[in-house]
Amino acid sequence: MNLKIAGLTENEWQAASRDERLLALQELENQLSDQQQRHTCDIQTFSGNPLEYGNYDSPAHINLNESLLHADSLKDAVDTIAHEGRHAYQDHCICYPEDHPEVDATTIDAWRDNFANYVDPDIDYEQYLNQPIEVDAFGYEATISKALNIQTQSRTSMEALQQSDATPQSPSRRQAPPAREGGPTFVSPSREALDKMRLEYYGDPVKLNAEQFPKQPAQDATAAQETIALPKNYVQALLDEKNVGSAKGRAADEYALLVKGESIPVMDGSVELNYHEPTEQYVVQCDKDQETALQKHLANILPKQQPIERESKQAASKDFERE
Amino acid sequence: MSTQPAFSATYPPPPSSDVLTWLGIDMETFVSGLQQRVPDMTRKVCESVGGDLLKIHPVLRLAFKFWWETGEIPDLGSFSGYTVNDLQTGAKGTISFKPTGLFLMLNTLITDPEKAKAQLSRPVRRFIPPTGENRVMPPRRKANAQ
Repeated sequence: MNLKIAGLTENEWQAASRDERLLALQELENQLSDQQQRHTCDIQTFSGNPLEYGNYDSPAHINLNESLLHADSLKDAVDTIAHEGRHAYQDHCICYPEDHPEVDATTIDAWRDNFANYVDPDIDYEQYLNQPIEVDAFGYEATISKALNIQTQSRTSMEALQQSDATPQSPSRRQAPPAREGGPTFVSPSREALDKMRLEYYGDPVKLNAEQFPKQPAQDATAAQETIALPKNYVQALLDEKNVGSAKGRAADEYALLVKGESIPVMDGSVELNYHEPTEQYVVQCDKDQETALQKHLANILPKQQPIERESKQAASKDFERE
Repeated sequence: MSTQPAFSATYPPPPSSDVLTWLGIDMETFVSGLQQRVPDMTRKVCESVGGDLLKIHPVLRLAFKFWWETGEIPDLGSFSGYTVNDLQTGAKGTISFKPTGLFLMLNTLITDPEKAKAQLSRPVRRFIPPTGENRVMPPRRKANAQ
């Protein structure tokens, strides 16, 4: 793939203004649409969730998060344009399959069906990643990024690019659209600074978790650990519903919840469950002494106002002993 | 100390069909009910997303039942640092999840936390499907037009 676009090297990107960056990305879209023999989309910008990098708004627009024009990462911006442009290509293939003999009918049918039944990431993230048009678009963006990186390595500056005889200086068919009124006019901080600000603002989930449960007992360092904190009332409701565990019955359910069992500390009204290896099948095995200890611990955890249920647990436990 | 366990129990999960039994509904009711609760989803998307929802971790099932019956998702505490409210609002720099996506992401936070955290921090590039019956087709390339 041959891509030569002024403004899309790391050095040029760092030195470019917001409008220059947008112009370069529009030129990328122009060249990609030429190569893909499809319609060319106008790149528009929007302000919103910084994690929402962009979207293809069929049939004519690629919407790009304004923040990408102020960030230092060229790759993020290029990947987004390539990705959304690929959706435009899929759209063109669906509408004019006879113009795209390079794509087989089965693939176009899959894309058509996926266009009609698109899964947004906020509905099912796994299916979003694995649906046909996204798999294709993510794969395509990687090839564009790679192609540009190769060219970036062979070019040292915008001047070198402009002086190259092999470089077709195709005029931009559109001028870069102006920023929306009220858009940011500040000089964006670096990527690292943005990451730091984000960390300070949102917090690091892992650190936050540790701070939230400072009294978490020491665990086996070799085991994969994750902490799930459930409100005590919710755990009680799980027990009441017999929602977990096996056909062993109520007491078995409770021990399943106590599966890692040496202790389930109660802190600030929450019962904390420690899952060492979440994907394995948990098996609870107790001898009589351990069971007595667990019963005692369970009695401390469960609400005092339910003596009848505790009696039923003890009865069930005795049944298990008899087995 | 005895080497024989007093009892043993396996955990989790029961077969997916148990979820429907537990909810007291059949698959058809489940799918159509899902479509009513999340109107943005087509029937086919409801079928595929519904299939994933039937496999959620037992710990989440009561909350799912609560949502199914009331439309509200109870506060479930913290899952590797993320709460229901965090995922609903995007308060920790994630996208804002709808109920189905939220339950499925909580499920991943339980079963594969590292994968979930990577997904939550990953940028999203999406496609806005054409809406309505009068779909506007993209302009055809002049070079291709017959």
